[in-house]
Amino acid sequence: MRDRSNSGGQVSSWFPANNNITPVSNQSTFAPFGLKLQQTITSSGSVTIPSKITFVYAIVVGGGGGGSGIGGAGGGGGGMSWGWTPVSSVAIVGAGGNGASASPAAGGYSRYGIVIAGGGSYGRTTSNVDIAGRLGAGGGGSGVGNSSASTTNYLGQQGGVLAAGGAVAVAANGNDGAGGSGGAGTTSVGGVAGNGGNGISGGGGGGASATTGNNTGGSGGSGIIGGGGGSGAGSGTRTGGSGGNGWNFITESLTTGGNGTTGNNTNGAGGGGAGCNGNGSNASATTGGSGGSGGGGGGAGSGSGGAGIIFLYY
Amino acid sequence: MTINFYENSLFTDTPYGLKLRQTITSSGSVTIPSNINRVYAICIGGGGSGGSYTTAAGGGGAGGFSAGWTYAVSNCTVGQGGTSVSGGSSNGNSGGPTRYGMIFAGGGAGGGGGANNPSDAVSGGGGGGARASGNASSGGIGFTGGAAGAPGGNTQSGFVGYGGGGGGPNSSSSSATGGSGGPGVSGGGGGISLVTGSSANATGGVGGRGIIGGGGGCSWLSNATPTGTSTGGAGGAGDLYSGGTGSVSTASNTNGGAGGGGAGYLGNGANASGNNGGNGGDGGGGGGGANNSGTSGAGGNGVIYLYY
Repeated sequence: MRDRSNSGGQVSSWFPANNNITPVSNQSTFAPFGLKLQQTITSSGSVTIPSKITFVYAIVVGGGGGGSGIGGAGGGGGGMSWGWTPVSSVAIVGAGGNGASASPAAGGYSRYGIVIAGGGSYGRTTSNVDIAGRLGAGGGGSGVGNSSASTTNYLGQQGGVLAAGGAVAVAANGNDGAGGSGGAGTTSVGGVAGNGGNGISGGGGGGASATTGNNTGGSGGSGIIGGGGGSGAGSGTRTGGSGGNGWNFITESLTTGGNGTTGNNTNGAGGGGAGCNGNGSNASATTGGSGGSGGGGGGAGSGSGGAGIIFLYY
Repeated sequence: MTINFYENSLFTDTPYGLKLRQTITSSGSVTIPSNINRVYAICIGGGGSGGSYTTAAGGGGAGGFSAGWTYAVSNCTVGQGGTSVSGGSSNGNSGGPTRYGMIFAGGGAGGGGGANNPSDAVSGGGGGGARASGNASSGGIGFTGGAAGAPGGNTQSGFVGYGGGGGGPNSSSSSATGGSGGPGVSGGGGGISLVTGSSANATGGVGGRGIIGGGGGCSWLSNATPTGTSTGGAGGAGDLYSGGTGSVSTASNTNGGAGGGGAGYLGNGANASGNNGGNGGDGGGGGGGANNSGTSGAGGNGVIYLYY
């Protein structure tokens, strides 16, 4: 781990207010160099900050989206936001979205002070995805058609636009963005679904939903937070997509997405996407892998998304 | 030309360690010491007022929240909360924007109650909740560029955003709850519920949670002889303060519950009373919606904090 043990200086002593410059940015774009990670928050509730501290630097991650059923798609990774905020005595940490065959849930948003990140969108098995990944979160994939987009993140960085799918042999990959959009789905026999778009938060992999033939789900998009893998259905060889990889910026190490499962007229579930705080789970038979801690998207096969997390520096 | 670089490795342009020097609650002149060239300002816009409708109206959105460095100036504008409305066919009024130097925060949107849809919020404010058979409005984009929350459709809650979207309406023959205001830094106003069944309950949408909360939406029992309970939506909770409660009715001559006021950055939202919505808390809270042509809750006033 990189040594960040130096305490932060007081701005009034080393950057006095009578200085003859005014920064052009309304919000600091510098990393919190010199500050120390003081709190890691994994559940909603009260937060205690020393009374002398008036501002903190927060990194906030939303919950990952839930994966849909076999032949369906993976959920998007939770959004990630960062910046300075006035201190607050409460924190909201988004839960991971539950995976389900018919109606998986989106991940919950996370917020500390004014720093807010959205939850990843869910995957879909039999329809287009009808909600976007919010505030930088990854979009969900579809098993039959269009994926969901991702909206602009907290810092105004653009999200990926949706990918269109349908009766095509090879469905489109999701588009890159701060939050990648989900991979498109295919209904064609022998279809290959699209991978989730890459970004800070990856989109969920698309699903290949034909009930006959050999069909292949898309992989989740990679980033700091990975999207969940999509599923392949069919009577032949089913191949589930792997979850997207992520990055643990505290330990400065790769986090990995889980593997999908493969089988003849069985299996085909998607792996869970990596979170920024843990690996995604491997799929098992027809059960999708869970998203990793820190917002990983759930794999198709009803894998649930990983919970969000908040880091406070001061 | 010479250029001076800071040698201090800890150099970063952050507000860390700054002290709160002034809290400003009204527009006018500002006195900054002559040796201070720049300040870090937090601006909060005024909350939107709730709507007023013959049956049930939506709650107002919370005021926007912006922060950052600015050159020092000698004047400021503090946004007033949207004034209340009454009479049964009026959208709430948007809150006023707040500005110090180049730091700007928009007001919250008014709640739905008029013939047209309520206006969308701007610059971080929360969206307004929907009236019966109406639409909610969008929240505002935040000062950092964070996305606005989309409004909820029928039966939907508003979506999360920097400014949360307003909650959608929910009309049903069985017990129903209006769409909650979308959460965010500034919460959206709650949508309404309108129930036609005689023994069913109606519950207005809760205002969106945030640093500043949105106002609650109304509830309405349209059956001629209702036996259910009608409960207005509570105002949205804030990080520092609470939202007000909605009013409750089981009497067939009023049929409704009004929405509570949303929490402000400086105070609690007020409880609703009878057909009248609760006022938003001081510091940008959204006002609650009014039912039965009553008077809506006003939005809470904005505020400015200066650090240097």
